[in-house]
Amino acid sequence: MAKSVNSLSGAAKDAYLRQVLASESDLGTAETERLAERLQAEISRVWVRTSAPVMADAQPEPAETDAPTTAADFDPYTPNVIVVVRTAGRETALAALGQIAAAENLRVLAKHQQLGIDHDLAAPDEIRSAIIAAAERRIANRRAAAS
Amino acid sequence: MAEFLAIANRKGGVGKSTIAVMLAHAAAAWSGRRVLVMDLDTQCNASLMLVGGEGWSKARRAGKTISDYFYDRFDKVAEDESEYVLKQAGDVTHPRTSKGHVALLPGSLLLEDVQGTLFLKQAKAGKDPDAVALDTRTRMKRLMKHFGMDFDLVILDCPPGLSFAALAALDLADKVVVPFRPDYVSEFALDRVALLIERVDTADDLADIPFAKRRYVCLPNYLRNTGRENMLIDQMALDHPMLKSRVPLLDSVARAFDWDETKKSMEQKYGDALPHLRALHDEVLGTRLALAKAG
Repeated sequence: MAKSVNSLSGAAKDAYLRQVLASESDLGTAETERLAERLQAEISRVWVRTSAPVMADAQPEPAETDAPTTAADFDPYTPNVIVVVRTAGRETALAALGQIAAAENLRVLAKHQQLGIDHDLAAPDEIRSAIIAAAERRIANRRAAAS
Repeated sequence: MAEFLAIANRKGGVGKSTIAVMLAHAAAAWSGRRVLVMDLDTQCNASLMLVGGEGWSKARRAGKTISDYFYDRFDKVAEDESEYVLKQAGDVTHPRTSKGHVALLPGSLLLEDVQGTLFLKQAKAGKDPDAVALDTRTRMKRLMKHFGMDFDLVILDCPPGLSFAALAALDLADKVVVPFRPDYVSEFALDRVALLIERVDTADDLADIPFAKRRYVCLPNYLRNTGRENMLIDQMALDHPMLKSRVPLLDSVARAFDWDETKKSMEQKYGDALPHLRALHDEVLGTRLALAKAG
């Protein structure tokens, strides 16, 4: 018997790191965000132990992908686009969205974060830019209401 | 002099009265404080939770509600105000050795009308309307402050709107807890109430005030712990100080406000919500408020 490990990269890795940081109750929101940003920037891949032991030679290592391909694996709230745009700027936010390769996942993220984008957009780069623009509109909208 | 803690949000349905009553019970039971809940909301939910429908109705018939207090005492010098207070409110038992208890200044359906009457009464003297508004607010603040002599903690359960009484309460409060439900419109509601509490006009002015120096702190309430809620809380935390405590959406909290005459322990009343209430009590009434007073 050997311990099983999963290799995570891209958005799945980012989601995992955030999940770990979020479970530390002593960390404030700002500290969590700062650490998450740093770890996401510096770590390209993590190997995570899973609880269920498997035969070492009975199961192949999970396939490594840059982004999860199924909706079940995908966390549509990571990155929190508005938070990243406001704290680290649009370029950092674009880079964070760059970790999500699939256009469908980008659309799912936009929908869950209520960032309105044109449904006709197909290219991931276009969708990412539209998401950032929508986040900037949301931020400006809120500032206008509070002034 | 008592600490004055306002529970406020211009948005309705966020759990202001629920939090006010929970904190009142917790402060009396766990900190041994003499607590007064001042029900400034014309919905009178805090009153119903603390003395039940009959108790509240009795206070109304006797002319011993907050609107009666304001109306009767508006032009008078300080007098004994204790006749307006219902002692032994709430349905939680306290140890005999503890001085902790909860009292209530009952709410009134007529509070808004009475405020209008008092404003017009002043306005007839021919003063400028802004000066009359300020005078009305100042007098109400003074009347609220009188209760500070007899209690350790006065919880001001504010209405959603911007009445003179609500503004007076926000002026008077040492600290303001702003409960909110994390949804899209709550972002705007938090911004607005924060400007009001900190007495600034714009988001930029507000941003110039460090979190540690703000009089208010926000409390995520009625949580289902979804990704969407956590996302919105993170976004709101960029602009507003946020409590670490969270109050989840629990049946035990909803049930706790079916008032009955049977006194019960905190454990019996709050059930599985107790750890959340304990955390909230410690955070709001422990170091934070104490530091605010010291500063």
